[in-house]
Amino acid sequence: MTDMNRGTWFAGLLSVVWPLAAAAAPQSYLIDSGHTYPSFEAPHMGLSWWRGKFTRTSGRIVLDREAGAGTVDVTVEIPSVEFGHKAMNEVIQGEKWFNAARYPVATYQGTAVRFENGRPVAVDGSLTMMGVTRPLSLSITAFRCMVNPMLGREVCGADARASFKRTDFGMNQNAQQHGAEVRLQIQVEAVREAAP
Amino acid sequence: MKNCAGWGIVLPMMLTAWPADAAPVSYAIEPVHTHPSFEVPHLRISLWRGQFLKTSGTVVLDRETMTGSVEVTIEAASIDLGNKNLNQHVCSKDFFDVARFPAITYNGSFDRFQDGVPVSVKGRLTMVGVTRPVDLTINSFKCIQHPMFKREACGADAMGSFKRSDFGLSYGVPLHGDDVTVRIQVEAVQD
Repeated sequence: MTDMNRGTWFAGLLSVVWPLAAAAAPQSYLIDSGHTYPSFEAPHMGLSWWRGKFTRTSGRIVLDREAGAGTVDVTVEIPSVEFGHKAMNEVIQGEKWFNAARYPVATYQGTAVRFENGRPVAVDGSLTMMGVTRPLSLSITAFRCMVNPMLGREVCGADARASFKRTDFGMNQNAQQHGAEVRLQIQVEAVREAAP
Repeated sequence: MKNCAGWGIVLPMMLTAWPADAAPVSYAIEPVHTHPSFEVPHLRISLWRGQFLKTSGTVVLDRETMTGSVEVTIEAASIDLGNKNLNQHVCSKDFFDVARFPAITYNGSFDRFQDGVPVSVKGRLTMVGVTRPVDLTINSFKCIQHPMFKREACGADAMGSFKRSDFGLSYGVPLHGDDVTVRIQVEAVQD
């Protein structure tokens, strides 16, 4: 390998590794709304699982890999729900369901990210919907970072799971008929913010 | 309320004597509550979930002989990934080419039963003119007397996986990954 090739190779490697190596302080990642979707499954009459997702989510995730700590702050717009059925999307905004006119967003505050072998594996925090706050832990089933070839910046992506009873948040409509369990599968990607 | 698993466990002697179960029973797919959903990797750092919104078809079940079949047609253009731009892109020639291949079809038969309910399907999936074997595991199966339709309705949740490049749907492979996992919620009402 010539000196020029070696230099080019090293510069190329540095451009990929450098942002990942600068992990000695908390790093802030801005949620990429175009690639972050909380999906859910809710039972229908005990016959099937209705799957849908919220299509507008924003927020920020802070990770301190050295300290093994972090926080998550996410806002989900309730009117962005997509059941794959127009009438259902509209009904669910109503007073007996999400009451979106009064509570247009759901928020998740993750106060503690748990790490194992240098990777986040869970988040402890609380979910607020319809004005009710309840503890909710997320299990992180996949986590990976890379330099996004289009953005030229570090992007981290994850898949997180959780489940809760909607009746714990006061969403009691038809809970006996359909079941109260809600399972979450959350696709999230977040882009590293420049240091202040 | 008639629960297929319950009948199999609690009243096994009556199951074979019940007239309604003595012959194949045909169920029409109920499109509002039937959405083939899927997960595909994005940049191999997250999983993008979506679903097809328009499905029709027939399920035939013979509880006496423990056999049955599934015939499903999915409108390819009904795909919804939760992102309008992406929906348009996957409908284009780069991917599903819905103008040329408007339908995705699945034809299969129940190959295993457990406690009186089907637990797996052996079948063939056709997308963009290519047919490949895809088998499904049925994770839940339940039948009730539907309070609105006043007839028996059955619902299930099935899972399967395949590589999209096996169908020639290779756009973005390997950057985005090749594996597709399908999770299909289905409800069908007795004809």
